Amino acid sequence: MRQLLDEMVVRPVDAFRSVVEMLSQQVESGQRIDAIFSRFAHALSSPSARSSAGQTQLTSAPAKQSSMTNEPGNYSDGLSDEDRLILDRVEGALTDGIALKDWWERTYPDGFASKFELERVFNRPAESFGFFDQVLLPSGMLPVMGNFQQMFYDQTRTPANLNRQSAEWMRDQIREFVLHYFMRISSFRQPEVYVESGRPAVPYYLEPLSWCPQKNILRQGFGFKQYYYKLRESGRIGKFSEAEQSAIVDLREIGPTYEWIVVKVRIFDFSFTFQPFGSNGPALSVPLTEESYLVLSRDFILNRDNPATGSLGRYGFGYAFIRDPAEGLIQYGPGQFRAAIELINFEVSKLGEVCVKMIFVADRPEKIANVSLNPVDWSFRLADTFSFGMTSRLLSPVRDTFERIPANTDGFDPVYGFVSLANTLSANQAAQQLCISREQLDRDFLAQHFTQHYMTIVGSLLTWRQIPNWLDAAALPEWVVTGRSS
Amino acid sequence: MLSDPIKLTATPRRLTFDAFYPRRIMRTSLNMIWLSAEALRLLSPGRNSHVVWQEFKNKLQAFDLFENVDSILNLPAGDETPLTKLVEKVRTLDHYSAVWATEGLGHYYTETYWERFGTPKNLLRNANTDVLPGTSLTALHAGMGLSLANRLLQTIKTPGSQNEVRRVIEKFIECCRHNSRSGYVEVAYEALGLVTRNLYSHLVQVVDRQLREIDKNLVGYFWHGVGRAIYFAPTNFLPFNSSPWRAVELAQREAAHEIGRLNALAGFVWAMTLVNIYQPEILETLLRRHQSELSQNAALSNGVSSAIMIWFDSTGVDACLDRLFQHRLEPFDPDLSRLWTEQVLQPGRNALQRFYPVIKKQNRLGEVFQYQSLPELIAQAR
Repeated sequence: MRQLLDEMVVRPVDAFRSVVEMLSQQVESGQRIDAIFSRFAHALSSPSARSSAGQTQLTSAPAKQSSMTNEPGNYSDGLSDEDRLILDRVEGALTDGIALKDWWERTYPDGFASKFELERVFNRPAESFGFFDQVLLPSGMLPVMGNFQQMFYDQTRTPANLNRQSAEWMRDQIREFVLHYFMRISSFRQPEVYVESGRPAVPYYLEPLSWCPQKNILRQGFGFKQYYYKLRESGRIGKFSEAEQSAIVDLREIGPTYEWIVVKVRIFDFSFTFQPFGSNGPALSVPLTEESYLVLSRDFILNRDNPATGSLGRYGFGYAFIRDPAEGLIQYGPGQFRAAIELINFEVSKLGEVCVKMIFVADRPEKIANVSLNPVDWSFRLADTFSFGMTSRLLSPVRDTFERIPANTDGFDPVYGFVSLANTLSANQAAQQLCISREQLDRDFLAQHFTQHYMTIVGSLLTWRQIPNWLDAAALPEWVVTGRSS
Repeated sequence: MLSDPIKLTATPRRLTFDAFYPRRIMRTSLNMIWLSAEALRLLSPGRNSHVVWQEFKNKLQAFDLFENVDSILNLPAGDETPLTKLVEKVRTLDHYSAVWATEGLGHYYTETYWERFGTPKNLLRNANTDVLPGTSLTALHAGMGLSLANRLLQTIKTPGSQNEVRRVIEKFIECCRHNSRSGYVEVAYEALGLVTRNLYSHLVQVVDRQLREIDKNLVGYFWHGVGRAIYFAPTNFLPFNSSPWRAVELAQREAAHEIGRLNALAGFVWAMTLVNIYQPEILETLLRRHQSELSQNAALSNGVSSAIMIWFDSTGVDACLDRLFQHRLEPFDPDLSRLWTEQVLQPGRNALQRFYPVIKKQNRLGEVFQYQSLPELIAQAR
């Protein structure tokens, strides 16, 4: 049955689709005809390489013999297909990231196409702005948005005659803190209620009635873990062991030792709220497990002593975001950026004052969410609801076959769909009077981003202050050294 | 009259429902066309018509052997036979059929692996495939390269994105390296040109540009593959409108630079020589048609020499090459005779007797899949 559907439905549809696809390409007519006929003939004639259940003799040999490689490749052994999916995207993300960084350096402070106030922080020395613009990347023109935020971090407290000495000491401390330890300690656990360990567990049906304190871990900030690296000398690409993942390498090694490293960031306490009927109306809040792979190369590491008059040092790091190969409901945000960078740079002035500048540049969203318009998926879900999942199990070959048909239907974005509908029905009054517009959503994202980074930097301040001397490695607590801070 | 030692590969089957599958209908149609071509070859008056129909038949047969290798070997869907056994099965076919069927097998095997496990690794270089006969390696790598190229090029969503194309090419190169045996990786590289030209023709110039930036050494292989693709291109397939002879103009025209032109022409000649190895009169007709263009450089001699070496390497026999070396031009033309001797006979004999043993010994056979001076290649090899 499955083979019949494959051969009679999937194969002809696939042949037709590949031909139609060629019709839209810009190419000389003779070559187009060649491609159309070749595709058609190949799609109809090629052997069906269908998988049968289980591991087979044919393929088990290649699958298990990775250690029998005759020549060393650039990849070390032990990388899975999932690892390779990420690694395949590193160079592209890096190229785009460097292009975005170069663009930022050319454009800041006043070259933006559109610049606007983003947030105000009362009674605290901080400033910020947001911007919209376009950037020419190797892959084409990319509409971007982003924000710049600058905030006071710390300062020395010494008599005036010791200012210089104290400022230099502060510079050395900040250099070590930022380049060696910051990425290990940038996530925090908020204070939690004490839970008695000996108390017996409450049955699950009584849990809603229980007043007993529950374990409720509240994390904030960014949790970084390092996963992959490329060695500078040999070009070899490898994976950090699990024990090494939390102790992010000293960023000064990126360049001399590593060509790049790939880290994964978990952004805690991040949610997307959609309120189609205003702040007093119903809201849909999606708590996002925001994770994203990032790549750090020496282009993003800042390590300069005495860079300018009045400045004792600038130290910082940055990264380019790697797009997640897997797509989910949410189509925008960390893990889903087409191209994005973040730069976090600290500066120590000659007076010993430390400030932080953070720059974020990312593509503007084309979609916020993506709801599947796959009728096969819908039908099976509905049937499964009424048949307690039996439909999918009994008809799995049929489902597999239908899913192989390249229907090529894009999903539906309910968020932008609502924005478009509201403005169409109100002749754009929704945007003008009620700020129901894509631009407003973009600004909301930037505001969320601002707050997230503001909280992270403020949170890190407590850790920074807690350690008397960041250069005394032997005296550092274990959680700082290992990076298992929360 | 031209001799025809090649047999039709289709075998009669009982009528089942799968006879109505588009794939089966397609193959039946190809066989019908093949029979019609044979009839037309016999009925058409004049030597030129015979040559044209014969060339068409050969090309059709090569395509059939490649695309329908599973039917030819009677492999059921989801077959589990190890590659070594499959290669043994192919070796029961005649030499000519075995060459094209082995290429098809390389493609089939790679596709099957990809379907089940994702990106292949060590496909032709693991312990289980070490026992593969040396005669199968070139064709297996060629087939594998075709599958790798097609699988990767079809992932390109934005053809205008240089970045995306570059990433895909880098991935292709990496896949070829991870799956090819030492000395054969260039065979896999060359397949990129064939797949790009015939299935993704809108990408030819972009791929060329990116390859020049990634690794200039691979540009020649790419264009050699493009030349091979031009020979098999549908617009040059049917024996009308001066096909396939006009393909020489295409090979010259489509490349934007000299390396591309020389390789495309060499690749075209390479394919034509190999497909029509039993009928040297077809190569002769090509020379008659394009005497002036083909005498201007060494692309012809390079394509012929490489094809002869690959044929010998893939079959282990040189008996049929005698037919090529002993071929007499009809009608005799002194200029053409000189060109035939200088660009076909002498280079062919040199390739077989002088160059092939050295190149084979040095395990550099993959390097003949591009236009280059063979004496220089063996000088390096020594």
